[in-house]
Amino acid sequence: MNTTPRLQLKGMTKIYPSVIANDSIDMTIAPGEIHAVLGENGAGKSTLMKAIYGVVKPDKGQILWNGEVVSIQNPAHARKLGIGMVFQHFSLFETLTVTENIALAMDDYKSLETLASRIKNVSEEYGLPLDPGRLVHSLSVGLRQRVEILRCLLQQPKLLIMDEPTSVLTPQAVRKMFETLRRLADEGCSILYISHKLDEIMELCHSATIIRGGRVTGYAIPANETASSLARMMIGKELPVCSHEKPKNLGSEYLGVSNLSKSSADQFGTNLKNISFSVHGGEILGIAGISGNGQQELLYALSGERPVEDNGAITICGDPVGHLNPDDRRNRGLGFVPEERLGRGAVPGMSLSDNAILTAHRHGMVKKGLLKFTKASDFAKKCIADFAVKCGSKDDPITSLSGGNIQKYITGREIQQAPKLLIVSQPTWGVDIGAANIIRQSMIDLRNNGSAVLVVSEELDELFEICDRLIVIAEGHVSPSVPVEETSKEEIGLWMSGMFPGGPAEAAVNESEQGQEYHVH
Amino acid sequence: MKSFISLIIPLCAVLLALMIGAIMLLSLGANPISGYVTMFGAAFGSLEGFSETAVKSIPLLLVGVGICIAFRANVINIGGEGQMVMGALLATAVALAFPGLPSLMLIPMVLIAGAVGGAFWGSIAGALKAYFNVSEILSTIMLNIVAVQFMNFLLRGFMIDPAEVARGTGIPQTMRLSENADLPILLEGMRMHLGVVVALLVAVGAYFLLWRTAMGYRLRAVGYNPDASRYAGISVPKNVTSALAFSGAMAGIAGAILVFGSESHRMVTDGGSTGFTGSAGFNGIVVALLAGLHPIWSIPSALLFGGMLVGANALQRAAQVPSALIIALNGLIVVFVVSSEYFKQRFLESGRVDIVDEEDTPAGGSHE
Repeated sequence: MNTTPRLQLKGMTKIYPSVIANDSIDMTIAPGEIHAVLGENGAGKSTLMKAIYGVVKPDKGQILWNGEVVSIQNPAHARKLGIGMVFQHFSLFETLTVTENIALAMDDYKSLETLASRIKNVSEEYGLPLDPGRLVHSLSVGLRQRVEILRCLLQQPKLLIMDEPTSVLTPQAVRKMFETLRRLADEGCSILYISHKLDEIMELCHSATIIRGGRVTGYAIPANETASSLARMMIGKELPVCSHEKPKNLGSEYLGVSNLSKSSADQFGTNLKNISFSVHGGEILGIAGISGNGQQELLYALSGERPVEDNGAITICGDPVGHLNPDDRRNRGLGFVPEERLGRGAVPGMSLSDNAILTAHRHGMVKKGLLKFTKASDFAKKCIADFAVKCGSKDDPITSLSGGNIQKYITGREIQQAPKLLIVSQPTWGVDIGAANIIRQSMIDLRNNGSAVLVVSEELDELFEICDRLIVIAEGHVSPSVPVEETSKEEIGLWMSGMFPGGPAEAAVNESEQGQEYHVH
Repeated sequence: MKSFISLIIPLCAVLLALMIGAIMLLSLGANPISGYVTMFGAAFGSLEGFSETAVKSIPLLLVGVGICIAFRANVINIGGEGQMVMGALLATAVALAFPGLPSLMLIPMVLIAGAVGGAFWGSIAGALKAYFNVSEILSTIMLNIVAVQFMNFLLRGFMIDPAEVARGTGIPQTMRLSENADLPILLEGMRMHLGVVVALLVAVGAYFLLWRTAMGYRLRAVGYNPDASRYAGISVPKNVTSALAFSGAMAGIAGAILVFGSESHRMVTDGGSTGFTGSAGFNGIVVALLAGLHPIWSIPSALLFGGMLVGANALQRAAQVPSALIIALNGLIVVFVVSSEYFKQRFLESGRVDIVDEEDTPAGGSHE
């Protein structure tokens, strides 16, 4: 390896009024090194990456780029230096083609035709085949990410920053992406890989910087470490484990879905096609699938936010509820945690305590039309304590919390109501390991007390950890259910591509030449 | 801290507007200090002056409180004028229909009629927005015009004073309405009447509604975020409609009070709405904005604007400046208060944006 580091950070410090996001962080990345930045949510990883990419200005510290001190003004400047970043959230225009989207981010290209052929060449070279003429809305999430990666690759970066890149991919696609990243590294491109999936980091990364509370708590060679030693550095204590007893005996059917078909309200959404499944008391059913395959539409239909035409297509505790609104469904025993915490699961602008009233009002918080504030604040306090919500007080606006803490709070709010049927979407997105365990454990406890739990998640590890049975959703179709003991991540990963009995397999077969991806249409 | 900022910034805006007003006074050759002393002295310096100010403040407060409710539900109500007119018309019709009822019954009846008339007019715009996605800004303004023409039609026709027809003068006004509906004077020899108490009660009631009842919670939830409301099973269309109905009801009460608290005890039209409402339907919006959309803070806010109306005449007499200056001053306060909202938001958010920023995931639903 070259002796001059590609990137060196010295004493990087960023102070916000209420918190020190980065506290004199030192880090060195050699050319061709895949370097993991490991840390819980709120540890300061994103702030650090934003400083490197020129989005935020550090208060103190130096950035050395190829041995020279630089002051990165803005992302355009960073790109000019050769730094590319693939964000968690894509910034693509759905109605434009791949080429057009990439052209928007390029400063210099001769014509769209030459750019298209460059895209084709580069994408095939790196094993990321992609048709440059396709409209982005017809691409799956995985292929969209490919567009973002290609956009960076076309600028021939010397450093590629990847922020949680695997959350949208099937296990097979993750493997494929790792190959691409290794190849890039072999060519001398350094990669900053942000994640808290320990096994991925151990497999892929040459070295790692672990950050906790804005400070570096350790440097490690992931290959020499174990998941638990890395986790200890990351969270400062032993990795907690869930106690997962086997289900005792199944209760009656608390959620029944039969022949549910519904066309999406969203132009680029997925239509639900003849979906049937059921969840019984005392079990956790998981729905696996890559996002954008109908999960949103299914959850809107189940929650009652978008009622369905056939009243009998959905039953809660035996009652047909297809026409009922969310409040009436909750009266029949439903609890629901949506994937958008703010602006759906919680009202921004209101306090934690007021947000308890939003769905828990039926538990004595409203009497004769009047609000009972003591009830609401008792409920909020219990929720904050039981779910380890980090906040100032129950009267703080919910927007002052981090995403993970909002998730803990609203999940707690739903679980604390002891619903007969709990539906949770992406229960631990953006939640740190410790809190994720609290949430998982409380879902298991709820099941052990006889409730039915339905979990929609993209994280296979999580589903395999907590669920009793799994089904897969792909292109609006739902697979048959399998007990977790009788299947494997590989099989479920395959099913996620639509290849299950009765699934949209043909489309997937055609697509498999383009990588293990498929259309979302 | 938060409430301090929400208080101090609009106050600064008013002071700035008054300073610019002072420059205007100077350029008109008047002494601004003595001008303002005269103006506020007339409005607040004596019991009599205060009584006038209070009377002028009633419609401003009622409309303002209604605006607080509507804006809290994220509904813009520019239809205060029309809702006042419709409330007044229905109240007048009730008084014409039951002139013989005792005061104890008739006064509550006309006030309720005012509320119903205004609520009806407001809920038309509300339902159009809720169910047909019609911009309430446009529909409320247009309904103002409809209401005024309806008033002209009624006051020239069905409701006209028979004496006007007999004399052939045809002034578009009702007859002297039943004395049983006269709002009782509170202080002997002054004009301050029961309407002041009604307006204060409504303000307190609106505060109670918004922050102590489940219904108010739903209105605010819908105003903050329709998606979260839908998630919780709160009907957005219903609450949008009822927000405008509440808002209209309060404007309607204001209209009724204008009729039954007036010197003539008639409803009169000069062909437009301002002749009847004194533009309270619009100025109430400013009252509410200055009060930070808080019904209780609307009380001092309404008194300020009511006092300026009273003080304007005194200023005109003392400083020989056109009373139009007060309209300009009013306008300045509007501009400054509305633009101060921007600074208020920035102050209030500057603390918390950074807190969110420091986190790895923004607070929305996000991939991990």
